[in-house]
Amino acid sequence: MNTTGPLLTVRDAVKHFRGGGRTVHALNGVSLSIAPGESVGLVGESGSGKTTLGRLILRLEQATSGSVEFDGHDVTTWRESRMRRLRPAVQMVFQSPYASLNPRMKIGALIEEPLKLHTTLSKDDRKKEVRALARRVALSEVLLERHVNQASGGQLQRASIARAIATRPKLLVLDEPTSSLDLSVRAEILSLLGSLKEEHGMAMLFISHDLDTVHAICDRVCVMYLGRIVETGSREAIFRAPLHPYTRTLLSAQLSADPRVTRERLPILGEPPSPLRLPPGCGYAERCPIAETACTTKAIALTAKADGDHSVACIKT
Amino acid sequence: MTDILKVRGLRTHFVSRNAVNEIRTARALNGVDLTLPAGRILGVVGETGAGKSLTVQTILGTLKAPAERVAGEIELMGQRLDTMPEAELNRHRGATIGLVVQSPVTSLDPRVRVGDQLVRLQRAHRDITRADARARAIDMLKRVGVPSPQERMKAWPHELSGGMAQRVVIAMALINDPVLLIADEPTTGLDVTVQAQILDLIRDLIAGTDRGAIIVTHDLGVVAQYCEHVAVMYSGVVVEHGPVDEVFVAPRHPYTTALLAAADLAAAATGRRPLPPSTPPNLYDLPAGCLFAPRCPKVQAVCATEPPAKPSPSGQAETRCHFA
Repeated sequence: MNTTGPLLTVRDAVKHFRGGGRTVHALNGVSLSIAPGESVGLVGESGSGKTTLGRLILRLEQATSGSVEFDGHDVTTWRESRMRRLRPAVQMVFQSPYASLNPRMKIGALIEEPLKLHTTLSKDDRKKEVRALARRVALSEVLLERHVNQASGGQLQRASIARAIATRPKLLVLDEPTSSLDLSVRAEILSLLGSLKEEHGMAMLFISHDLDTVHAICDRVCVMYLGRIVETGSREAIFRAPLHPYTRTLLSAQLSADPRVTRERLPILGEPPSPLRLPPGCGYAERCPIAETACTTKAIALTAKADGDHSVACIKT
Repeated sequence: MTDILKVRGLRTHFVSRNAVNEIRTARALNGVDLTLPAGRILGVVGETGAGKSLTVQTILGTLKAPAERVAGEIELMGQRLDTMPEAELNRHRGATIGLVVQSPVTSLDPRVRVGDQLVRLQRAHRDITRADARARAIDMLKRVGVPSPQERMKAWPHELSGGMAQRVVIAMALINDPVLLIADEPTTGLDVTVQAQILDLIRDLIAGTDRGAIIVTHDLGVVAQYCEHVAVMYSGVVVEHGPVDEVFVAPRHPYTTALLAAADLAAAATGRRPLPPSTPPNLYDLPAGCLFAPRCPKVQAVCATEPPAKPSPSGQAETRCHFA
């Protein structure tokens, strides 16, 4: 097994959805790598391709082109039967626990399910492990005997996390895990994820449109727009010194809960272009306040900036 | 400055029977007071189940059984809404009161083109020709930032993006020049850049006019950046209200303090817990004293027995706590 290189490497991933004579260009050449134990935030607006990328990494979607390497294996074309052996190592937490947890099963059984599928533990040991997992995510034992409709959104999201970490994955992909939750519950879940990250050294890909959440939990941030990563860098680089005009606009639209903090709001022009017809140049050009002719004619690659850990796809920066 | 809306002592209960046929009462609103001055935006914040949306429904008189308003007064521009006959109240809804709800998709009729919905709504409330109503509709779509409004008049609701649909809903809410705009989670689920556009729009339409708006939200950032006043709700009461600059900068109620601390997600990720992780009170069996007492970090003996005094509804910051 690979111990020094990245845990996950996505190379030039392209995903098109075809149907009704039209093609949705969901991902248009995305490259990304995650080191063991690293937490990476994937931010961007609806339709930017965040969720598609997450699903592609888990092989819930098949890439149109490009490759996905996990732990040294190129899994891009692995069959499902072979993929299944990798599943314990890559787990996912979805946005809505109501949609992702089977309503007919008790919460205890839901947490036990991955142990049944992927371990050789005896029934008694599994039950013990389920109780330990419940304690780990601060889920009361009483809830293990309940069904999905008898628990709150926060409790269910804890159960989803317990289920996802049951097989001690190396990578956890979380797709908007806190966006349907109240603030205090969101804070509790982030606190839980923060401590899991420290204890287990689990890598995380955290998909969210909420910049505050990403800022709280991620070491590195990738900003997506129209199926491409337009900027990537350390949390500090992205939040303190964003370079891409889209990242700047996104950050300036973030509302601080402190009424004394007033950020200068950058204007937002128009709507994002349709992923049905990609513009030839930079995807953001037609909304960009500093765009020039060159931006609209040729595709712009992600280029490393001086310190190397900060890359941006913009010819004006 | 005149007050557009005054709400006093609003109580709404859900009355049902349990399996053995005993009457059970869920006390969802327990004396809500709100005041909205002209030209201002009031933010109503609180967590799920605090009674924010129920307050809106009670004000609009759109509660459905088993929910029932059992006490309270609602005054819109000096007119009592709570005692008003249904037919008269209906003339206010969609006219003097505009409503924007969270899901634009469910508040537009999927079978009717955007333009026709805007025209119908005007003709239901005022004597206006179809042509004039159409002209006003196009003008309103332009004001709320819908590009090429003339063509969008012909669009079906399903053809609109989320942000565009929410703009159409706001155009619907504003088309009859409402005095009061109520927006219940108007930007939840929208992207931050679209959220900013929608909130800018609401602010432009209210600031410096004789209109007022209430924004119900669980997003403290929306309140901090767009509202002048805030009412913090917990378990069906307003525990603290006042100017945002005071309440959010120097909160006095322990619940407000905890809520603001929860917004600091960076602190949460490093393990500092803002609130004891217990559930909100059981509405069937509320504590006798302060409703927040069971979770309050500063609780004293008196809190368990005596409900804290009601905040007097002046413009000043007020709080419902024995020790604030």
